[in-house]
Amino acid sequence: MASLSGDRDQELIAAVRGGNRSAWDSLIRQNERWVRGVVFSTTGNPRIVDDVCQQVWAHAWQQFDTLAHDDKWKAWLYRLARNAAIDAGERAGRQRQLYGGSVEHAVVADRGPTPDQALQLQERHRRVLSAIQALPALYREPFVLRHLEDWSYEQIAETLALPVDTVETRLVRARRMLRESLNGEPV
Amino acid sequence: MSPTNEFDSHNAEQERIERLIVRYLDGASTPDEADEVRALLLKSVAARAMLHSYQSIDDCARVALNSVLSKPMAAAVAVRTRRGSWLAAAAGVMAAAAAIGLFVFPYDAGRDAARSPSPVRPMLAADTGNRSKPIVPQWVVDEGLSSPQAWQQLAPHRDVWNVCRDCVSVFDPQTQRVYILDINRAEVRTTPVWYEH
Repeated sequence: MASLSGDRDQELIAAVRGGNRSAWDSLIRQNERWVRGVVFSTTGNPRIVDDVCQQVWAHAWQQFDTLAHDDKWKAWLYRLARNAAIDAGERAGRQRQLYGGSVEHAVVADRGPTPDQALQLQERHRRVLSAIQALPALYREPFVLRHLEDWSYEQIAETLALPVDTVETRLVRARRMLRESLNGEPV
Repeated sequence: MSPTNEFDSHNAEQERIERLIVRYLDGASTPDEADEVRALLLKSVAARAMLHSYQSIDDCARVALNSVLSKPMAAAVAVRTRRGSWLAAAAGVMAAAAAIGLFVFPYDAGRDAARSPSPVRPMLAADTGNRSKPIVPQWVVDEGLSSPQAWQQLAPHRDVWNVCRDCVSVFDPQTQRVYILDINRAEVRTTPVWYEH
């Protein structure tokens, strides 16, 4: 399989190494969506994604020189994102314990043709999102990358450093769990 | 086991079919597998129900995840401002550039007496933009300005700052830069973030 870190990423990484600051911006833009997906799938909490992503990109810049192999960029960034998300998730958990805060659901904005339909759609998406949040991170991670970025099994496997079969199995189980948790509810 | 579900008595077979259907939905099927799924869909109500169910979940999940996660990082730290699109654009660049460079400067005690309403500008230096230059983060004592609230009070424009968990961002209209102040309990690290027209 061709390397997941595509030619564009490689070019940008080389440019960043050469001191091109705007290349770093481009690198962020090119990768920010799936990084957000990783943070969300690790924490299950959409409300801390923004904060954590800021930290991830700041750390990525600070530690950029430790990226030994440019073709491992995505795996390297994935580890940074995941570690930051785990730390943030633990902090958020502690804060919930301290302050008794409840887990809030993100509002999923939909534009429907009528207010009623929009509400129904919004409610449907909210339920699915809640079910995704309730998945174990193990299954949530490949599911989010698959559905947010439309990555192939091979791409997910390379980023998560897992065998392709494992990714496939987790995707099957994730869907089964979602189906069971939404059982009886029209999706 | 429910007799109404034709899969229930054959768990292994059910799992195989489930895997086939998921591969089919993900576009990962081989031509033979795709043919098998199509044939199965023609004759099996349970297979059709499963496919329909998974397809609905997939569609909903895509929309829901995109709604929550696809906003650009810039929006995450958007500077609250009433000054219109120009500052909004600055805010956009701010987040995207949050990791561009770290320059930390020792706190200058001499400034204490004449501390400006904006504690930010005097603490910053020019960006060399030289990535190859080693960056040595250095923490500085912030003399009680560590809380977001303290920075908020001192920020020159209350509506051009934004606080997240560990940082405050301030837009400086004079230098046309957005600064991120990384907050620690006892210390403050300043991080200029460049905004270029």
